[in-house]
Amino acid sequence: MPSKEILSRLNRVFQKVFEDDALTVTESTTARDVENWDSLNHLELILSVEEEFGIKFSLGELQDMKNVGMLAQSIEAKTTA
Amino acid sequence: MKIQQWVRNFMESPGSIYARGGAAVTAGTLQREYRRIRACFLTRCADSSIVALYLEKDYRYLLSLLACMEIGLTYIPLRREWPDSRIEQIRRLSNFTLLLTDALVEEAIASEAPPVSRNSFAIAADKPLYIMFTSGSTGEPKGAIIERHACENFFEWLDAYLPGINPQDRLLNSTDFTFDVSLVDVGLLLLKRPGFFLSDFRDDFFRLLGELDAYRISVIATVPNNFSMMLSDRLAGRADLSSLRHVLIAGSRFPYGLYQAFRKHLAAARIYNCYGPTEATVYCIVKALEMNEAGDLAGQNVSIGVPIANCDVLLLDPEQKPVGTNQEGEIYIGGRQLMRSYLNNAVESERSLCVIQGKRYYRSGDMAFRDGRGELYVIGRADDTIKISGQRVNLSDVEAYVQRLNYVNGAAVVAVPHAQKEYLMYLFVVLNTPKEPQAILSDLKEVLLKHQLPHKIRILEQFPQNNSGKTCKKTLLASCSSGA
Repeated sequence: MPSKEILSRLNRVFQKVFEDDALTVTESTTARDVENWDSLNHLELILSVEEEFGIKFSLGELQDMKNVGMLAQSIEAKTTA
Repeated sequence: MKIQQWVRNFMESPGSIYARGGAAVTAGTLQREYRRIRACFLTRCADSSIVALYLEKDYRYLLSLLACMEIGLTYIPLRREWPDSRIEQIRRLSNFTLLLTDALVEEAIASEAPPVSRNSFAIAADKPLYIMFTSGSTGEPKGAIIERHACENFFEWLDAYLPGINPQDRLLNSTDFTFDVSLVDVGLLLLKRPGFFLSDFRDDFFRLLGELDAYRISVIATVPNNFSMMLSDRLAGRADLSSLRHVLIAGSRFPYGLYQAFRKHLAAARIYNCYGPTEATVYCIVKALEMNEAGDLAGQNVSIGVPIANCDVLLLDPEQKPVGTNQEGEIYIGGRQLMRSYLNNAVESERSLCVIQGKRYYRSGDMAFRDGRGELYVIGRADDTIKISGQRVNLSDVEAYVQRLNYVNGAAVVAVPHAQKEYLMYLFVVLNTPKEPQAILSDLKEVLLKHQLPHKIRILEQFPQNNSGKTCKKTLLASCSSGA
């Protein structure tokens, strides 16, 4: 399970990318749950997450991510490795 | 009858087809399912039937489409993601006989193929092969009727023009079957038999990059924006694209920045700049880029080359008189690939089709010029000019200036009517280096006249796209009025 700190930081990235200060994401959040999660914002989201956490995802990792929880777990694995 | 034979030859010994996700579909499965889909059509339809393909994009969509081609059934490609209202509009316009759904295909495949009393429907060269719907101008889609001989001409050109593609190649079908560029993939499959991978792209550039890399794709036909994004500084280097050998670009104007990106990142690949509206089947003017500026560019316009076999292209002024070398004119397209008309839409057909010296032509609305070598360059749209303070401003012209800034990957300009200023011009840019709007404006003041300067500048990560993968200016316009 990803740490609360990672989820909190992720939430801030989401708020910034989707320009919505009230946006709250959980581990089960998917693209369908967030308004305007289109190809434009998806690209920006991934690049912003990488910048925020100082990491880089492989293309394979990105294709396996189905929800925010999987994204957070991947961040956790990369930042604690 | 050529298409019929090409499909039959292919299905007798199918090449390698990979479903979405990359799993290979065996030849036995392809042949069995094909026979049953074909039998379903033959038992449910008649000579003049139209079948609407309303399937998830996967190999069964391809098989259904091939079956229509082979047995002489006119088809309309539809997209599952389209709203019901659009499907209903198309149903009203076309009165299609059969809506082929995934459930119906599943049912046909699950049951034994029923005995059929015929092997195909009546086929003539001018029988409609498919009806492809494009955006209209009045809130109703327009269905371009493409006859069999038109598509045959295009496939024969593909076969002759790309002799280097062979069964060892791997082709990624990245466009939807509702987009005419997908016919490039189908034609190459039938005549060149490359490995055929159905993309699961879904507008996710990371996924597209991943597929190109993982499948070691060597052939792709797509729109400029996809490569503008994948080769942008923020994404370049994420994937190994060294397997790419043939990249066919069409659908919108080839940006100068993309030309430079190809030179930088894909120097070993053959890049083709292709032009053609749905109304002229697929491509009708093509340039195999030489990747040197003298051979490819006029200023920063990228050549679209010369008309392909049996396509007749005129550049005409508003009085339908030919323009001279390097003079701007509207592209009129005639010849074998020209559509019959728009389906049940006499008004739009009359507006778009005309007869000049006894030959039929389609008015493309695209403006171009021809250089001294006879090569063509698209420079904008005939309807892309606005007036600000009484002075003409061509939005594509402004875009071209913006695209020359070395930190700009792409630019789109839209104009919103404004009570005081007549129009407010919004400039949307995708950058490869961070830059503030004010700094961009300062740079533009160096190259644009005052009345050409945009009123507002918005920086995007990527342009919104329509179903065909082109920059969606309607979405950009909507974002202006919503203040988003």
